[in-house]
Amino acid sequence: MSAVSRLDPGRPVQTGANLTPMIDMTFLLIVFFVLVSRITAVEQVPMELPVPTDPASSPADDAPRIVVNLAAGEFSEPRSVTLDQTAYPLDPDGLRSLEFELRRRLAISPEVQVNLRADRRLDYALVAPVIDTIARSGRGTGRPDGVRVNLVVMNEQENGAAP
Amino acid sequence: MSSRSRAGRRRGRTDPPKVELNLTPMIDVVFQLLIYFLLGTSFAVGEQTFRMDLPDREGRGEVDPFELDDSPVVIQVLGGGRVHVEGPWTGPDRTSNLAEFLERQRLDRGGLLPSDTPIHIDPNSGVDWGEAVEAFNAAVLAGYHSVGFMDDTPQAGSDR
Repeated sequence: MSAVSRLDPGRPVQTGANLTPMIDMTFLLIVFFVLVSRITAVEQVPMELPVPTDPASSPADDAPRIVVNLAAGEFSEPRSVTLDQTAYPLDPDGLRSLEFELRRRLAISPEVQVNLRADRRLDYALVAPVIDTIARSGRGTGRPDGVRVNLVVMNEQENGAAP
Repeated sequence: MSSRSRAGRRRGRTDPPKVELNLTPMIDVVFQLLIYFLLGTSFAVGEQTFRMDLPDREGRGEVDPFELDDSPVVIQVLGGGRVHVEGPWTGPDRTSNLAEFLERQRLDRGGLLPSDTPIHIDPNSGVDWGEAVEAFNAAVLAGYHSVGFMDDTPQAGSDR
């Protein structure tokens, strides 16, 4: 874009918007979304969470957490339990490996909690061994009251959907 | 010397040529990326939690001999929205009435159970996780603080 200079009417003046702040902000937004989408992809495996009718649940706090996902596969059967991006089979060997990994992470800090996300269609008998594994993983990590587990549910009233 | 070269020399002395990077394609791509991530990112909207402490009963070494063992209230989840409360009372048979019943049993509501009475949810085989959590929610909603799932391991025989 050009205009006429007031000081020198014969000479055109280059004018233009300074794009630097906009580009800075846009890059910051992109970095934010890249990081958030990576975190949510690791922690939030798509599944149908339990939806209590009149939920007495509370919002998750900001304490450091380990997210254990138990998603339902075809025919509502879980194939494996996932911790971050590692899948552990639901057999004794797999659950033992999960227990060791959980214990290693729980030993790092006493504030670490375990969030259990399990598909509501799963049989309770399939979720119970995972809960047992989480309970055993607290052994020797300095937790006299045991591992703090947060059962993750969906509160549709908070979600904006009709209750 | 031609007039063109003279003019160029004059311009070079007073007004150096500007070299600018064309940012337009980069801004286009950056905005495309921004829109992609805006639409593609999903946040944990509406996700909430129930707190549950899981003591390791198998590895428990020391037991306080003076600690009173509160007898728990066991709620069997039978499936299909049906429940059975074990004990000397006539409890509700539907999960939808469970919270109201448990609240009436609280000591501060004229009942016999302190609010720290252990409530053990015992889902039958074939009951799905959603229904088990529904019964768990009813006990929490009724105001009890020590709600857990029944432990089937032979060493424990009590709550998780």
